[in-house]
Amino acid sequence: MFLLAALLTISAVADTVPSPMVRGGEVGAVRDAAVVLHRQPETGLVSLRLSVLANDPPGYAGAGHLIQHLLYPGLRDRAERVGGRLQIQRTSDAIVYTATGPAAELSYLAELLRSALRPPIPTDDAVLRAERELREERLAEWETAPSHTRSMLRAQLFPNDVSAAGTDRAATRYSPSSLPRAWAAMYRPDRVCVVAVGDVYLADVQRAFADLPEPDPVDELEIRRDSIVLGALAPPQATRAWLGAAYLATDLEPAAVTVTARLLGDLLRRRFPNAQVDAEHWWTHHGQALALIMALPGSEMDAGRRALGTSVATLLDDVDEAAVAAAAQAIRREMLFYARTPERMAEVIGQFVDREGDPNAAERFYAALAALEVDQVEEVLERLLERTPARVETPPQELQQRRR
Amino acid sequence: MRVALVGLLLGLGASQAAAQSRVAVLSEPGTPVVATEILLAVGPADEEDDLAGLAFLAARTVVAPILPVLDSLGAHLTVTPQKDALSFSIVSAPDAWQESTELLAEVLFNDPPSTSAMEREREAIVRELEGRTANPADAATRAMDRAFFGSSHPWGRPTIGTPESVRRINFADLGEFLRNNFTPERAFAATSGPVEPASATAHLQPLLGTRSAAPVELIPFRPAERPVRIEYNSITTWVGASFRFPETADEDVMRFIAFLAARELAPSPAQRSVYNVESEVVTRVGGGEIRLQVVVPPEEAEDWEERMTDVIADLLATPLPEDVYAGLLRRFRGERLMELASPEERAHAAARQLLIQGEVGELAPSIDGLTAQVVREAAASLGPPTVVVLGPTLEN
Repeated sequence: MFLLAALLTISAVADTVPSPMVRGGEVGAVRDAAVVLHRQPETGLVSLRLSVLANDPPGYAGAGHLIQHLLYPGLRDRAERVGGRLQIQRTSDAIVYTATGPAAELSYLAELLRSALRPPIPTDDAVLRAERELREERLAEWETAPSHTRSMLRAQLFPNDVSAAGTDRAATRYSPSSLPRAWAAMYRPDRVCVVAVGDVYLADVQRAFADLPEPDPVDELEIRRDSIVLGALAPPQATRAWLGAAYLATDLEPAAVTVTARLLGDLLRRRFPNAQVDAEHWWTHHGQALALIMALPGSEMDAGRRALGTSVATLLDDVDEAAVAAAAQAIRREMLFYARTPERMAEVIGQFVDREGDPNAAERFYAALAALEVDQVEEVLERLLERTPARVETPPQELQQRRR
Repeated sequence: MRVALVGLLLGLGASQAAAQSRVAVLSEPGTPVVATEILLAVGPADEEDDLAGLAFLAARTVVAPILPVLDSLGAHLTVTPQKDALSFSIVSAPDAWQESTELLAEVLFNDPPSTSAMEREREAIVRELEGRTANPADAATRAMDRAFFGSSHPWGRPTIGTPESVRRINFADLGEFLRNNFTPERAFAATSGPVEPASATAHLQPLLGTRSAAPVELIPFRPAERPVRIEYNSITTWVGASFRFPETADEDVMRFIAFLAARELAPSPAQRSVYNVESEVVTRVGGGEIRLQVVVPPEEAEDWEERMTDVIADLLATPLPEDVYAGLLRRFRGERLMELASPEERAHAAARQLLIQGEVGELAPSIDGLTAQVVREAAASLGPPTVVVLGPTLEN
């Protein structure tokens, strides 16, 4: 999810160009799964993004991503046989596999993805290898300041949104016998969504995914909840001060939250030209949040903390129609730029569909940006002012001076 | 892929107009952005020997003032130097592409350069070059250029110059270079994206003017016939081989031969000591080259020198079983299509075809005619390679 959040916040006139976001989009279904097509006949390629909308079963946090790690080497090699590429992604909303390759290989690529839906039959060795990879991801999330700050903020705002890499305790439960049961708890054909972008037709995509595997009966899993340890961990590596503030924004208009995040980011960058400032719109099925993350020299930590605390009020005093229009247009253009390859277009459309269940969600968001007015941004700012943000601070680490 | 080609009227006759087109439009309704490549047939051959890097510095200098404006338009500009041309690739939203390309054409062909921009860019390029001095990959490329084209040939020089040559360039050199070389008749433009061919063409044509294309000529060169060995302070050895092919060669066949050769050289249980393999096919006016490179342990340098020399001959000596050949062809097609996945890559490929062939053909690889026999014949037509070995000697 961070990828799209970053996309929406990296960076105007309402234009008359028809929305190119999902121009030529078609929607269908195969069995109970949703199929969304964006035709790009010019590339000779197709990107197939298959997502399974599922949380990890309670007590088995990380199981979905672990299964992806188990399957990845085989799927990758199979995609490479036709010159294609396979990617795995575990978002807060879904377990995602994306296969991209020649459009002429549609059936081959679809079969490859369908095979990822069958119950895993791993060996002990394979489970241990995958678990080690997941452990590395968990450690990376806590050791480096940027991801640590985000994780801590997310844990405060969305306690149910456990990291895709799982937890140490859940990892002890991964085994060749438990993983098929965990998968059975996650997979059902009606949770599957296929987004196809490329030189293919809807009927062909539907045919290629006609045979989705039957789900296995769901066995009772003994564990009913995840336990997460917060706060007792070693501080992350940081050579600068890291400050984070995040506001819950679940009830607010998404396009207005995105633009507000961008404007807040611009404000903080102007105030601290030497700082790294990320202003992000987090948006998953767990809810929405607006996160501001700054890395700045230790000497500016106090000033940064104050600016972070007052940025919402400052922007509310200054925001105007022109700034909102410019920010909205810049975001629209960045979305188009990001989505310029079939693989990226499938990712953007798919993330919107996974989150909202609406095949036209990306298009609606794109249109909402164009129609956004300053009042909507002001309303977001006013609502944020009423709320107490989650805060995280990591001072820069300093070498201890040797005693004389 | 719908391709609209526009032969610019010369004022001398329609037949000449048809002979050299300078604008191509790939109309792609499903692509969300518009990518335009303006390829300016200017490069080291237009520079004085002691001012190597002038073309690239000129390119960076003229675009520097518009970067903030392009940024505000959400447009992304990349300038890439090549031996025979400067590539200006600009990717914009559909509602900004015309304004972006107009801005680019204006600074390329009309606006006077800024002294301060030149000084900033010169300093930046010098820093980049100094940072790359100790990079063995760069050193291997420079060595191969020198061996393949000859040290006195303009293409044998580093494409973006050396820190010393770039420092020597002054504002007067740059102004004169721009006046003589940055002219619309040396430019080719290709656009891919959700545009109508007629309106896109009508937009691009005036930017390049109505003159005929200036002829793009190849200065003859003679590749080194014997292996070139260069002492270099590194812990690995870089062995490169470059095979020249004629202008009439089929590009897809050459790419497939390079693909097969790179697979032969790739790390495998039988050759575990290979650290890295790269292959590249470069097409130019007058012909092109297949360039292969491996990174290996220094103690194996001699073996690999021989191996690289013979790699194409070895391919011919061991015909592949039909099913294996078909599998490799299938993979090759996919990899080539993936290389063209972005609109800017398609615009670049189209612009290169305009420059070299005067027209744009199918960009996607055509593998129907790529029979084993065709590939064997094409491989057999390649001459002996230019081989360069760069690394520490055993004594060191």
